[in-house]
Amino acid sequence: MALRRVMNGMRLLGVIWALSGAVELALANAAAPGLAEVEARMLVADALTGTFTQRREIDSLPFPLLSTGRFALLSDVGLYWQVLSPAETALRVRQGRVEERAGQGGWAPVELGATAQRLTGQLLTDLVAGRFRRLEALFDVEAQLDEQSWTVQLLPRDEAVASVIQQVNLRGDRFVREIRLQHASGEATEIELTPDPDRPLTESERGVLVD
Amino acid sequence: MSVAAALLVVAGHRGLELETDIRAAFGGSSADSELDAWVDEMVSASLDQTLVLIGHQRRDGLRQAIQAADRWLASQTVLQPMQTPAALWADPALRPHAGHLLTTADLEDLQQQDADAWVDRALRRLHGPTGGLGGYGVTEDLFGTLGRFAANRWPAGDVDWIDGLPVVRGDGHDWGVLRLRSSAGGFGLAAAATTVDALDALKASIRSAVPDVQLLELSISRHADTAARRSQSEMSRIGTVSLLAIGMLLGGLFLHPAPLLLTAASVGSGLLLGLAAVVAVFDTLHLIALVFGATLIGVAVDYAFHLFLAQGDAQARVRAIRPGVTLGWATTCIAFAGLMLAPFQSLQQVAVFSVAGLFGAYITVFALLADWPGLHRWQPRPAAMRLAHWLLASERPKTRWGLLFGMLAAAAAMTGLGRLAPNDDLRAMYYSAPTLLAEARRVQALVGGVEASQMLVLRADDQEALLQALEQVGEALDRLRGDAVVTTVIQAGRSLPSLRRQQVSHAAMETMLYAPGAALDRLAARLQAPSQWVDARRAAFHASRPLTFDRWQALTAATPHAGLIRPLDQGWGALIRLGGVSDLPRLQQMVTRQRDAGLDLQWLDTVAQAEASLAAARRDATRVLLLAAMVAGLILVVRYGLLRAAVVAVPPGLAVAVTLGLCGWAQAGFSVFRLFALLLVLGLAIDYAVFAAETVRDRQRTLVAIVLSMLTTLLAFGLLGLSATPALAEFGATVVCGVLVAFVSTLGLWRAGWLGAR
Repeated sequence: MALRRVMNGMRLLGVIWALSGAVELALANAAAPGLAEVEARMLVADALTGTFTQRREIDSLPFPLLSTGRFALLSDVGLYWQVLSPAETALRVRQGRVEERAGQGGWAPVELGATAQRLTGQLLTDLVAGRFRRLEALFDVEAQLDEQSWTVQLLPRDEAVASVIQQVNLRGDRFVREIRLQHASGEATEIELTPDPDRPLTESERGVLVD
Repeated sequence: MSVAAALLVVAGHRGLELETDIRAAFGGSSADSELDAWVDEMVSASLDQTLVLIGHQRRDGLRQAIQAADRWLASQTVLQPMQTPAALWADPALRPHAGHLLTTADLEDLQQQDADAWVDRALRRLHGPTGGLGGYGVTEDLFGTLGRFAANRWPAGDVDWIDGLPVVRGDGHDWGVLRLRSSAGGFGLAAAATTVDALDALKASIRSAVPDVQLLELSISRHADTAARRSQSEMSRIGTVSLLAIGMLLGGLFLHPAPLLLTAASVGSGLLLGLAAVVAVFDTLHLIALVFGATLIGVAVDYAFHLFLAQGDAQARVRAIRPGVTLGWATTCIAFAGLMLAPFQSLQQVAVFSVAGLFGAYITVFALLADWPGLHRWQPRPAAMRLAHWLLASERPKTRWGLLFGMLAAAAAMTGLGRLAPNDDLRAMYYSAPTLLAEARRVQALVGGVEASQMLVLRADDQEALLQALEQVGEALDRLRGDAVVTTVIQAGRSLPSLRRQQVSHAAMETMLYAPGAALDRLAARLQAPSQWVDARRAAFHASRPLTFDRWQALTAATPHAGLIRPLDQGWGALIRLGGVSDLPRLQQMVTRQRDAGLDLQWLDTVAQAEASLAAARRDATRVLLLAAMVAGLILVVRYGLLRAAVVAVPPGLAVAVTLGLCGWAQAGFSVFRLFALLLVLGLAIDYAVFAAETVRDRQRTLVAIVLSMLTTLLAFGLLGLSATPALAEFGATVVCGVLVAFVSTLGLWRAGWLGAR
């Protein structure tokens, strides 16, 4: 009988411990205000394709630099970013590595240094995919919603990241539609995304990401 | 004694320093003291660092823990955080030198590719999404060359930051890497204890803020403090037990406290005189001389024991023991004095300390103790005399068979001599707690980094020649890193190219990128950029100036490159820090090739250097002692004749040889600690044999004195064999083995009638 009481006591302790762990986990998963709603509105898909228009503002140039192209995102695998105009180039992000290809040449790493490689890769992929929660380690995330759309602002938490990116602003609805990166150098990059959820990845796009 | 005390007082006023560095004790081989000092400074700076890894499964938890650490660190002064290179991607301070700084790969590309390839690269950067993420803007780094140079300065590694603290990943956690420097200063145990207390307080503060945080630590202070506390605790426990046991032994034998106190007084006066002699002769006192010199004076307990156990009045006692004690004293002194010939000051100090100390004890026994009132009243208890009688009385034929058997056993043990290997591994001599070692390994696996004691040293006539040589060596090291011969290379050449290299880089950029009609003009045409934009880029390039040593020093003060280049008395020197060397022969081959090519490059391993010095000390001391033993043997020959001297020399010879043979069988190495233990054994064994040989009457009393000497030695030093500190355990085990062999062989020879007086 005494042994059974001890065992019951142990079980009760186990339940309390498990419950406290669950509460802790729930607290840990608590996202920035509004972010959960933003995520709830977004379409969750394993793969996403679309087109983009990038506008780069450089202080010393009297006009913005425009480029257009296609992108293909394969969840948990990476991002394929294909610039078609004004010159054909491509970039892919896989396992935190950022590689680029000129014309039909081979893939070569973008020389940013190991840390910048990983952070750049993570930033690009998560911004396009709208995975803001993963970016909370690097940025303070603030979300605002209206009936049709939402906006999210990312501010770097650390000096090292702030020395490169001052601020990121995003706008979207079921998808991320616009990304604006304000660089510490004073330059800015604005990317308009036009997702095409009905177009699956081509074999060639999949091959670039999975090969 | 008053002279000795006065000498010590004078030394105290003079500020005599106690030298605790084992490398200083055994010479420090290099003649280039300035370089040595620099290397020591860099090694000390590395060792002085404490790493605290703050781990958490979640980033928000880690951030809270780091903030708690920051708050605690700001509230005290003992532990100071060391700055880390926060400007990893883009250091704004490099902008004025953008036109002179290139990575090796970019320089090669500039020399091999055409201008259109560089236009394409710039366009990719301008139109790609990563263009603005390299750190520098297009305006200041149009072709991305400065961004690549900045990113390539540091050893490859992937870290990010939380509140300025680098964060690495591993074991399912994110780990904030806190590098701390203690202001407690120096390697003293008090400083280590202060640092450890502060570390404990820091960890407690972090844990109270974030209870589920994981904390790891790598601190030399922690290792030193743990080892010191362990040793002190052991020494205190062992010391108490041995003192009590010796007190009970002598008190029980004489039923009076005076013999114990007077024996302690004779040894104490020896210590005082020994210390005074060293202070008078040398400018510094080595810790090793103090410890081992004091230990060797322990031989002097024999003199007092023989005096107390002799019969008759003071004169009769002195008459009875003086020949034996004097001969034992003289031969022991000669053996110890042999260390004077060793080329290391620490060993010379051991010689001076022990010889002067033995002289002090000898004089005390005959000048003070012999005239002590009441000496004749202290008689040994009859039981001790009966024991001695029993030990000495037996039938000779049986004794001789026993002796023969013993000799055969000893000969078998001595065959282990062939298996005896030297042991000069400094790290194996210290106590290291297994938990601390495991934690250190885990920290190293997570953080990596350089080995504090291993580096390459490069020297050249002037700064420019040094930087050019660094570039040459850097390329060879990059190849070795590619082949995984070494994992981490930190060398200043990566952040400070030579002037020649900067000029070549500038010329290559000018030709390929900024000359009229080159990449800049072609890019502008593609972008349809106005001519003012082109002129501004070209003007900025031409305004670039080379990065100088002085400017570099200011920029790298808080980086891993700080202090790795400096002017020396003759020429300039650079240190190249290495980590994860897995194939030393290949690294040394590279060094040889570079030396053949005319570079002054050398491989330096300060621990290996210290061990080599220790090995040299051990070898020299061994040779010198063999020589001294031969001289002592000659004295015995003069006293006893050849045959009998040979018999008298058997116990000391057997004690040393059998102990070393057993060490060989047990695969316990021959270290400098074992050598000093054998010196003690040698001194005692000579005494046992000489006293036995000199005793004409009162054999039992002499044997009681010998047994007393053996037991007190075993109690004083033998218990050290139980220590967890390898050096102490080695010393104790050697003394136990040697003294037992010396006693048994003396007794055996005595019983066989071969050691008796003429």
